[in-house]
Amino acid sequence: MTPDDLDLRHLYAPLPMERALDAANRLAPGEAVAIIAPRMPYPLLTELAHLGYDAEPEAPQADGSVRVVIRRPGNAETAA
Amino acid sequence: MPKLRLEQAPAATLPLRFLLAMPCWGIAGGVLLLIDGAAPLHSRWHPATLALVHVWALGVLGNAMFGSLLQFLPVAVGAPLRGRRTAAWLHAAFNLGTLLLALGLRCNARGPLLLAGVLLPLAFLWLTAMTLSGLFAAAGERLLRAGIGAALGGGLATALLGAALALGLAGAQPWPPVLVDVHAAFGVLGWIVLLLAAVGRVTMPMFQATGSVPARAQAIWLGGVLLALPLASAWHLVRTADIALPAVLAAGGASFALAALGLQWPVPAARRSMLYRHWRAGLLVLLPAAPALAGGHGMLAGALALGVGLPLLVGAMALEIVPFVAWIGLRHRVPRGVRIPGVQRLLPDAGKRRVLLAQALAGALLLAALLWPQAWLARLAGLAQVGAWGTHGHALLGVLRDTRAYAHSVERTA
Repeated sequence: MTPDDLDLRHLYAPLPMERALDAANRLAPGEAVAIIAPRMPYPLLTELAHLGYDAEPEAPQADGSVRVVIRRPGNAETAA
Repeated sequence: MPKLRLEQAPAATLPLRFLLAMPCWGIAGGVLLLIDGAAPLHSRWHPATLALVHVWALGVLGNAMFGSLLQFLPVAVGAPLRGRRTAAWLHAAFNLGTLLLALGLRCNARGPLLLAGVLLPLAFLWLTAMTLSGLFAAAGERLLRAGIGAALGGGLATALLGAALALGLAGAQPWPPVLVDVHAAFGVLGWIVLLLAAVGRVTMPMFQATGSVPARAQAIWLGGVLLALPLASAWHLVRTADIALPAVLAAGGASFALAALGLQWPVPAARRSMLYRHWRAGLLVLLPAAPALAGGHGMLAGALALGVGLPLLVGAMALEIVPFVAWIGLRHRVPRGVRIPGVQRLLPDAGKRRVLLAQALAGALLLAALLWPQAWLARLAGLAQVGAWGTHGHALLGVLRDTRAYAHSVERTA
């Protein structure tokens, strides 16, 4: 966890998913953002995959929260 | 970190057909009261009472539970569903079975009872087959998965007992009342309350900003219910109407309601969502059902739980799920980069508050009609039920209508 991570644990559903998708939407090609979700965000991961983002969840913490790194593929990767 | 199987996520519309059927059945329950007046409020064995109870238990609560479960399992547990494409057929079989059962009970008609006795256990078996392998395959969340698995078992047991009773009635066999008690106890505690407790463990912190019951305490509660319910049922059948089964049912329901109210208590007023308020109202109604049942007032307990309290809980969940599902669908329809309204704007709090007020009025009139069973009051309660579930259905349909209109407007300007 870093100070730059977008911490969504204090929000109740469905705000964490809305904020995470907004953050992903603002990414330039090749950029990444990390979010802290209150629990494994299965619908968010599904949606990110549908939109073509790379999303890598880390192992859940003791409180159930999960850090997810969301990355927008670069132009070259998208073209490939 | 194991690779997540995201391709297993269900189609967003999969639970919608169940959740939209729920208010239709609520309206049907109101119509039954309008037609039958006070008849269903006098005796639990009256044909109109049996029909009304099953319209509530299967039509209202069953549809909400089926739909919520199909939406919840992949979303919260990452559990894949088997045979997702058959969900429309499952919906048809379950709702046709419910219609035939209500008709068969109301009119004492042999054919509908026979068909319902086949269709309804088939629907519960179908739901179990769709969900059970995913529950075993999913990783983590053991207590949640155990609770859902136990509830599925309870639902299946209820359906099989109910089928035996329906087929017996179709064959003009007299009902053993103790078997009906066991069927009802499994349905309310072993299916509905167990599922709400399991799912609430995740949804209450997520949607209502509450804490969670300590895992150990919930595991003990679940184990206690799984042990006590079959034992008390067996005792009830052997001893013929012993007090143990009502006591177990009352204790299980009351402990669930008390624990959930205890979790809600510390949430600051500013964070109390409409879902929180629906649940608080539903739980406060559910709580007195326990002493009513233990005190031998089964009709009052049934009306409090099946007619008012539990519908408030599951109805409120539908008011959250449908906008979320519609929002996901909207995201998929509009081009990337187009800003869309937030989930909360698809069904604002004012709409949810209208539903809560309408349900509160309908619930109060239903209880008044039960305590003073007069035809005009029962029909007024029926009218209020039609109004409340009409308001609920209107809110859900409004979400879908507004979402579709927004998508069309985006497509026109693109």
